[in-house]
Amino acid sequence: MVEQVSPWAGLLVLAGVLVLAAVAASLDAALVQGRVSRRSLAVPWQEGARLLVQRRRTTLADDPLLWRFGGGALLVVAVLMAAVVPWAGWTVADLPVGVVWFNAMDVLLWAAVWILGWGADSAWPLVGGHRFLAQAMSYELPLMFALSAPALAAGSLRVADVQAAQSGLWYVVQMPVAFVVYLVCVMAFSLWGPFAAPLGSDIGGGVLAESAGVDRLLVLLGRYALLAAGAAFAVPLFLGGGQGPLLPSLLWSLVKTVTVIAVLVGCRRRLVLLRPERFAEVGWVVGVPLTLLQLLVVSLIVIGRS
Amino acid sequence: MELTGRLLRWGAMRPHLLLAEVPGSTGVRLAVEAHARQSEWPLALSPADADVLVVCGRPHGALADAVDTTWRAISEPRARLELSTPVGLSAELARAVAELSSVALQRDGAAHREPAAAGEQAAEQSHGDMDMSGAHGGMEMDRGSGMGMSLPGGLVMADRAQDRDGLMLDVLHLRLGPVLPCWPAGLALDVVLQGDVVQEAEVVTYEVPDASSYWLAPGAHDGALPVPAHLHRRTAARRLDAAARLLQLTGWTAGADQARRLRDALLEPSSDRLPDAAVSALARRVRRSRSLRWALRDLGAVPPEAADGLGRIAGDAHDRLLSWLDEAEREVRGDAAAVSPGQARRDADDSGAALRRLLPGLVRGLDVAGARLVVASLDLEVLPAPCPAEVARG
Repeated sequence: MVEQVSPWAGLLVLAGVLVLAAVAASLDAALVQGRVSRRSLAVPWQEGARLLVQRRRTTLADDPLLWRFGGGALLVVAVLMAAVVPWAGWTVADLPVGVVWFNAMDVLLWAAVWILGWGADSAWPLVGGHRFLAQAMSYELPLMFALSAPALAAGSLRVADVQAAQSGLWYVVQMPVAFVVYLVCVMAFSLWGPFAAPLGSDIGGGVLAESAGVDRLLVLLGRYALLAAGAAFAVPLFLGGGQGPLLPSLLWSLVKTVTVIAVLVGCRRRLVLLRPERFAEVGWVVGVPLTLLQLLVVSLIVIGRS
Repeated sequence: MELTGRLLRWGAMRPHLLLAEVPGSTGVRLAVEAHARQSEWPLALSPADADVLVVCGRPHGALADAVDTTWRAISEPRARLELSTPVGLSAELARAVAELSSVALQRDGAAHREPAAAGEQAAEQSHGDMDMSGAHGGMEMDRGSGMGMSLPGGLVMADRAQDRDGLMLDVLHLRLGPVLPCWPAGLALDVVLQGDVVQEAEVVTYEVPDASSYWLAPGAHDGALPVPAHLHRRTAARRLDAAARLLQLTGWTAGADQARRLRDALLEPSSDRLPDAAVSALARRVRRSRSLRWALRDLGAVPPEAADGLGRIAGDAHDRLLSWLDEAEREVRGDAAAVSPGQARRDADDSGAALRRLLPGLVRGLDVAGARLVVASLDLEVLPAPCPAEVARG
């Protein structure tokens, strides 16, 4: 059973998310350079140092409150997402509707990224913000259905219950389609890999086209943090939480989280950028029916068991 | 301050380079890109992302103004380099990195920056030379709207017009280029956007009077002599360079890096063995990739009757990409048909002007991403028209 700790442990969650984000960034740098060396692992820290001393920018008629809020919101959303993940029998927020909380947080990103694009009062960020909305409309429904599948099988929306219900067989085996769709949607809401059109190089960096210094650092850090939070949430939902032989459950959770992060990071350079209007076809015509079928299969299994 | 100095030095180990290429100085740009790839320095996506502005060539007139606007949009720590030849490149870049690492120099530069008001007035007067930097101009709104309401900064409300679905949407005038990553040198495209769909486009060129194409080596004007061996490598390298730009814009960065690596290997004067196996491998991967075909199909389709005389640009962006890689493969293997350098130069001049006439029609109705892919798929080079004496001689 999972015990709730004091909310001050939320700071621990922040620290944990930042550490995992750093791991993701290092893996990415190592993959880009094709080798794991001190030089490639130092890349995220060099970039961070560079952005910390860079002077911040503003545009002529920007909306400073919204623009800076949008930039900082990515990291905040990631921490809120990670707050419901149980680690070794402890969790910061043992909500009875943890799965829905995760979904609600990722919907906040719709506002955050679009406000980031709009607040800069410049053409490229605005185009990037609109691209994100077009993409988000295509991945949101499949994500919702993919999240419903484990909750349906476990009969509860509490993350701890979903984790406990996998003591027989992990859900990744029972509902692989939901797992794959979930991973794809984690990449999508982190603006990662094929879903990086809102940050595309063809529009000068998209929503980041006018950001420099700490603002830019917050958004880039937020991206890695979202990847980390999504990967951490996949573990209790599909990969059985801390279950496994030999090692303590905390270590198992970490190992599984880092593995999922590695898979997500590795997808980046191999896949072509998906143009939002072409992805809309895929999301609605393929994604929605597929996840609905998966839900049907899961429901039949649940009925058959009871 | 010690902490600032330390962070500055650490960050300067990995400067982001923003390249501003002047037509005719392609050799310098290639050398800078090769150096950046070897030192593992990334290329910046926008002035906000840049540390070092590397101007390849000597810009004059309107192009120099555009480069200055870009320079103003870069925030400290920053350094600026003007290179007219690839000789002494590493020393110049090392000097720029040293400038980036010096706290005193950067503080000094920041204190003596020209104030924003002057930059913004220049932007209002020149209306056009804001490339993608928005630091002092924000969104370029239509001047002639006459709605009478003035917004902060002296901007006016955007004009509205019907878009292709009959909705009244804001009209945005934007200039793509001339300083933009993966963009032809000396070219700018004035687009009228509604949402992010291009409604109209107009090509603006920044010509340099005595520029000649780097890919057709200077001095090889004689039609009678057989094609020198190094021209095969240059043509293959040219096609690989164009393919690398297009692949970078489609998001397949691994393929783009491979194409650039092969291009640099081909342009290396000392290597005797040509990387024909690697070029064939890349061509095979691109041909087999269904996601690339999905991303590029039906973009910038040039009908055959409009492409007469310019056989290689018929078809859509995907066809052009495949034809470049086929040509590169043939040139590296030595199977290519011999074309005299004079003929090649004439072809390049004709096709450049014709393509620039075709371009507005090709991008109309596409979104910005599609327009960028179409421009990259045409592999334009902005060169001055040949003088009649040379045409008659060749």
